[in-house]
Amino acid sequence: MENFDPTKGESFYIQLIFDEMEGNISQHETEQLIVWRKQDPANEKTYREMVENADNLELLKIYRQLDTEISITSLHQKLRAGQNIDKPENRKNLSLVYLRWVGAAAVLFLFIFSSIYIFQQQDRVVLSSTHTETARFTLPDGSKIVLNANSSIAYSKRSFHRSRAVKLLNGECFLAIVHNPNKPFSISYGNISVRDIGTSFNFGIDGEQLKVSVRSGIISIHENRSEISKAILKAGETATYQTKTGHMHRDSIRDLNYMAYVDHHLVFNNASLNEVAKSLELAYHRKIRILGSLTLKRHFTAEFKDRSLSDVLSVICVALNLEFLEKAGIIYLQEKRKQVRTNGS
Amino acid sequence: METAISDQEILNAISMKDIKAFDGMYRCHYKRLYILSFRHLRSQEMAEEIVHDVFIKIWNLKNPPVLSYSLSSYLSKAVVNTSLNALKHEKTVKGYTDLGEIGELAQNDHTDEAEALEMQLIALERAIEELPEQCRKVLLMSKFEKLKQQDIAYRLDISIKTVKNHLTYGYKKLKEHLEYPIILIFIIILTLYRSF
Repeated sequence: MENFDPTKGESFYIQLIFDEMEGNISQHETEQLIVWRKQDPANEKTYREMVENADNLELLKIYRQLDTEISITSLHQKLRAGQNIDKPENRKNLSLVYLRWVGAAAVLFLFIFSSIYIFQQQDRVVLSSTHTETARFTLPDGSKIVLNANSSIAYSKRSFHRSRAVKLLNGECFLAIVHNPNKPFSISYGNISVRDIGTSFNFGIDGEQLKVSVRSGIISIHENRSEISKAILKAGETATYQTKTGHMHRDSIRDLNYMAYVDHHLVFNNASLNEVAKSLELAYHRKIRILGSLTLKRHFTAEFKDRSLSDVLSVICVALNLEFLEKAGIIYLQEKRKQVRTNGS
Repeated sequence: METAISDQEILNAISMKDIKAFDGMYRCHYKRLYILSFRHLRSQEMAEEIVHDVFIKIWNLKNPPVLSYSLSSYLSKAVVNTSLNALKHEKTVKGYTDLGEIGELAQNDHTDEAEALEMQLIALERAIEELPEQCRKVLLMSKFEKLKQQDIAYRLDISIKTVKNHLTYGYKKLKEHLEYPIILIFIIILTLYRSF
């Protein structure tokens, strides 16, 4: 009984039950709750009632959304498919007629779907970047989008003014959305969509990992077009969604340079030379290699705002006593040799 | 016996392939049967399938089942049995009537689970409507939208402590409303009315 605190009233434990239902309860609190439930049958009754109420609220939500007419239409289709809705006297010789109708319907559907497909292809706008450079676009609503290298998005020319829905096809993009409460903006990849509530954020796919990082404002993440939000993220937060398992991990943004490809704003805080090189590669889409092992032990602190790669490398080299050179499109960083050479930066 | 006769007449009409009688029965019972099936299966897709299956089976019966109680309780039982049969494949639940015997469902039990559940949900909906606006909003965001308390606080620009207070107050008020004896009395009256 050491976990039971008689000074705490029922409200405290009710709040713990809400926390438990939300999956946001510590081990110690769980133990407190178990002791409280065992302490009095009335407490156990309260607990069970709350769980039942929560369940009934879920049922009520579904009950409210049911549409009898849609369901009855679908039921009629099933009955027709089994020819159960026709009167018995009309059932003779129906199989031949039925087959003819099925054939005609199949041809018609093929024609309709082909037309829709061709129409959609004409209606579809695809924006892409090259393999080595970012690309900047303004969407029809004025929202800005920066595509990282090797990235593409698509939207419907016709329906964009109505629904502002964009699909990420591959890669990564940064979006600064013009807020319009009547026409919420959404970007999706697979079964995950991110809805903007007036914000700027980064959205990208890397293998099986879909990553969203919010720079300003709030976004909500939805699965399978559900109206129920899977997570709400605010500025400074990031979420990683595993497309195979459906698992989502939420965290605060730790990579200070996650959107350096957009604005070349780089922040290094006692970063190792390896980390520096990796960030530069992602921001400038160039291959950078470190020669020698001593350089790996060096650390670097600095901030760069929209500087060229050459400028940034020059500063790093001076600070760490290195030099850089370029061969066959690859930039090499190495210990500065005794004889100073000019590198054209 | 008026209700029973009327229910029986509906089933007789359906056996004569009267689609209007069939649709009328469906419109009257669909929602409560769906939610009853969902409570067992936790799958909206399966719940819809189960309700459709039961109605298609009834449509296909050559002879209408003879009701010893009410059509509503007969349908409830059919949906529960069919749902549990469906579960049986996944969870090896045993001891329930097979769907194939839908025309011969045991009707010695008067319980109407679908109706009782629907009554509970209606009472809950009314109790929610009675809550103060902000409290109702917080409760619905928590339970309908499945938002975490922290997200609700952020969205409504209130502290997490206030969210917790609203949830606690809301729960207590719901409990008060749901324990209100008139609902119980109503259910008892309805049950007695159905019995005669």
